[in-house]
Amino acid sequence: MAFVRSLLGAKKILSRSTAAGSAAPKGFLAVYVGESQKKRYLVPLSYLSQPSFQALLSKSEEEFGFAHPMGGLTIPCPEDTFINVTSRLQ
Amino acid sequence: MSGSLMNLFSLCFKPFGHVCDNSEAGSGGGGGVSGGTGGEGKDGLLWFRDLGKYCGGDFSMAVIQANQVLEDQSQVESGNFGTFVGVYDGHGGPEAARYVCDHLFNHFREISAETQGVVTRETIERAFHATEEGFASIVSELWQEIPNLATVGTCCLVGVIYQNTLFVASLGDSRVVLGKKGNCGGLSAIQLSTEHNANNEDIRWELKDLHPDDPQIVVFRHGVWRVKGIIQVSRSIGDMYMKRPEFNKEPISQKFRIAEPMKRPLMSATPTILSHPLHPNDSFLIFASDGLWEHLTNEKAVEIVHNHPRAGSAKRLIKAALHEAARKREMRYSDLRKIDKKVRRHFHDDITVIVVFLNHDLISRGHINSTQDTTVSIRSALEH
Repeated sequence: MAFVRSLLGAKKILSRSTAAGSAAPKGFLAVYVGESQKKRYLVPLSYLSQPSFQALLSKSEEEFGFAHPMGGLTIPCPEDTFINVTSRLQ
Repeated sequence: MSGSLMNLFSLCFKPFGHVCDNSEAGSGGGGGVSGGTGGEGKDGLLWFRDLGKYCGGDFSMAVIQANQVLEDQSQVESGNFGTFVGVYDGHGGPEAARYVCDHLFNHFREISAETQGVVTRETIERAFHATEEGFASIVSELWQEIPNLATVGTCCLVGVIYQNTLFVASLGDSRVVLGKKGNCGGLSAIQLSTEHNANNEDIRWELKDLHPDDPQIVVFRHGVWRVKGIIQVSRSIGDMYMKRPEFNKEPISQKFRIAEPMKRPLMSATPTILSHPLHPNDSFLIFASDGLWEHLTNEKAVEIVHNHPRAGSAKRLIKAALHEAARKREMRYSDLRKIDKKVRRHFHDDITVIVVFLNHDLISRGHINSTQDTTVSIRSALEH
C-alpha cells in the first residue's frame, strides 16, 4: 500500500522536467533534494503550506539558514525521505 | 510584573504608525496623514506610502514582511530641527528594532537640544549610545523573566539632514545609496554607508585587530562568515549576549553561548558616521535594509528610481527585488506573492525601503520654513 501511495505521490512531482535555473511552470517551484548530490524536482506551490513539507524546510534552515546554496530551495534530506513525505501530500 | 516588562509589552502591542490609517486598500488615500499626499495602504504582506512631503522635498516608503513577526522598523521625522530617517533591521526577534524606533530619535532630539539644535557627529553617536544603554537596562531588568531578550538585536541605519549636511550613521548591514547626477546627464550610484558584516574582508580584519588573542573571532559557518561562528553583523544595538558576559550564560540557548571567558565586547554599538556636504547634483537617497541589497545592485536601484515617477519608488524597488528573488528560486513572481509569511523567509528577508528626494531649494532655505504640511513623523506600519 505504501508503495502504491508512493507511486501515486511521485506522479505529482515532475522530476527534472525543465532545465535547472529556468522558471518553473505556473503554480510550481523547483526544489533541490539530496544529501550530497542534489536532484531537481518541481513541486506544486501548495506543498509550501503543508506542515510536513515545512518540516523539511526547517531541516534546511538548520543547515543553510535561508541561503539555499542551489539557488532554488535546497532540502538536504535523502531522496527517499522526500518522496515519502511528498507522496502523502494531497 | 516589573515596570520595564510593561514598558516592553506596551512597545510590542501598541498600534504602529501613529499617523497612519492602516488602510487595507491597495492605494488608500492616506487620510489623516501629516506630511503631504500620496497613496498609502497595504497589499498582503506589503505596506507602502507612495509619496509624502518632508521639509526638504518628497519621500517614498515601503516595507514587505517575510518573517513570522516583522523584524524591520523604520521612520521619517522632519521639522524645524532638520530631517531624520531611520531603518532598523532586527534579528532574533522584533523587540530591539521596535525599541530603537521608539527611542533613538528622542535621544537625538534631547542631545541636540543641549547644543541649541546644532547637530554634529557626536550628537548622533551619543544618541546611539544612549539607546544602547536604555535597551541594556531593559535586558538586565528582565533577565529573570525574558532571558532571550539578551539574544535580540538590530542593525541601525540613520540619515540626518542638518542645514546643508547629510550625516549617515550605521551599525550593521543596512545601506544608503546616493543617486547623483553626472555631467553627461546620467546618474551614478554612490554608496554612503559602511557595512559591518563579517562577510566583508575589511570587517574580518577589523575584528582580528580588535581581538588579536582570539583565533576564532570569525568563523565560516552555514555558508557565511560569522562573529564567533554565530552572527554575521559585527555592530548592532542589542545582542547583549555578545557584549556582556553576564548575559552569555544559562538559560540562553546553547547556540548563543561562548565557551571561553569574554574579555571584551565581541560586538560594538559605536556607529560609523559619515558627513556628506550636500551638492546640487545629489538627486535622491535610497535607504534600505539588506533584504533589498541581496537582490538589487546599487546601480540597478538608482536606475529604477531615476527612470520612473517618484510616486511609488520604494514599492517599485521592493517589487524589483521580489522579481529577482522569484527568479533565483526558479518560480513565477505571481506565485511568490502567494506564499505566506514565515515560509516566505526562505524566499526573501523583511525588506524596508525609504527613498528621499532632495530638493536643494528647500534644503538651502533651511528647515526654518517648514510648515504644517511638511512636518512629518511617520513609521512603517504592518500589523503582525
